[in-house]
Amino acid sequence: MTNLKKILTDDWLTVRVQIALGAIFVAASLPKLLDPPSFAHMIYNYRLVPGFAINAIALVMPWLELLAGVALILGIWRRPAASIIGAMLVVFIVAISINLGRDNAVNCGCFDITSANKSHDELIAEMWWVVTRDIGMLLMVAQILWSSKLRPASREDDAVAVVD
Amino acid sequence: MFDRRFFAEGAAIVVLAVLCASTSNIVAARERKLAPVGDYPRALEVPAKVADPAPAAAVAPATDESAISTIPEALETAATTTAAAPSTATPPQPALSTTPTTQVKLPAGVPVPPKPKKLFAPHPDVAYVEITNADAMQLWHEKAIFIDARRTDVFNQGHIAGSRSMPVWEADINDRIRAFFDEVTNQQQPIVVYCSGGNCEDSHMLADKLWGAGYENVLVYKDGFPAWQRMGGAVE
Repeated sequence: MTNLKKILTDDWLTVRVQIALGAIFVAASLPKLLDPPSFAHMIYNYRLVPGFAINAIALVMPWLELLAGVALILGIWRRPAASIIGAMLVVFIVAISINLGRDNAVNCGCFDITSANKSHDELIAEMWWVVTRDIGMLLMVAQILWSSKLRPASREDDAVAVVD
Repeated sequence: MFDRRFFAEGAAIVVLAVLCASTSNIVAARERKLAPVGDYPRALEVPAKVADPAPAAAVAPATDESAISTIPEALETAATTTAAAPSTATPPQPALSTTPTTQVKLPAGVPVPPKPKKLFAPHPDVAYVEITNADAMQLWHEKAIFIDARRTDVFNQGHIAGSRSMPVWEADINDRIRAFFDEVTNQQQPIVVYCSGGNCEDSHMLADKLWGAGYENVLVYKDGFPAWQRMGGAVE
């Protein structure tokens, strides 16, 4: 058990998880930053956000993804950056699960914001995969937060420095 | 773990994101801009499930008015308008086919009786009425106004011949409607709006806005541009 804890909170692993998760979120933010109206359309399709708030979310969320992702890659402000990403992942999982529950097939809008011509069944299958993927990323967030909890405060932002 | 420093850094990320979003939206090109406050009255309504379309049969697009002769009769069987404000039921989807269905041959010299033309009366009490492929084709031949609700770049890739672009998801949509309002003063003439068919609701959203502006005869061509292309309608 102690060995497992040591492995899971090891700097070597933490840095790689940080960089991987940061890169995923930077990649996810770029198409949304380039075309906010399409992303607003994706948010609308979820039928969970009041109309007045859709555009504001479509404008701000990609920047949150980008800044939090860059912070994780650079190893600065890693706890709040990981927490913001974790909060977004929880929101994504809940939003997709609600739509799975009401059989409303939606394009995830995670990495691609063009409306692909997919059938209802294909979209539903994709939504299940997205929930699974997001849970996986949530575990990555948990690893970062857990390891930073055990790290002395003075070494809080040193994680990136251990990359050889 | 969640100390003052944590919240200060988190707040800094959020504030920075808001600043970057505002700045990038201000400098964005017209078709990439968003109004900060959205106006989507049906944002919380879950749409009725739409049946997956049958595989499309490819038909070369026509470029002239002879296109109407290629419409199979099957398309015209479902030419009943559907009052929809808002619609939750899925109207019957006409079957598309490339092969002409049964046609009665008349002896030579006997004039073909003209089909009675459908009339599209104003409907001030409902935002829009959904129309079929055949209705859309009839209205196109009658030079009705066609409006494309899809994004500008999609419109530029191809649209129904003669249609205007009013991308409902772009920030200047209200300006475009105002300009249209100044230009088209007869608010009872038929206006056909369309988007990409299937689950696309942009045409319905635009129809709501046009109705709100005072137009009383907005017709939503629900099957949209893909169906128009399939039946050989004129595109440009």
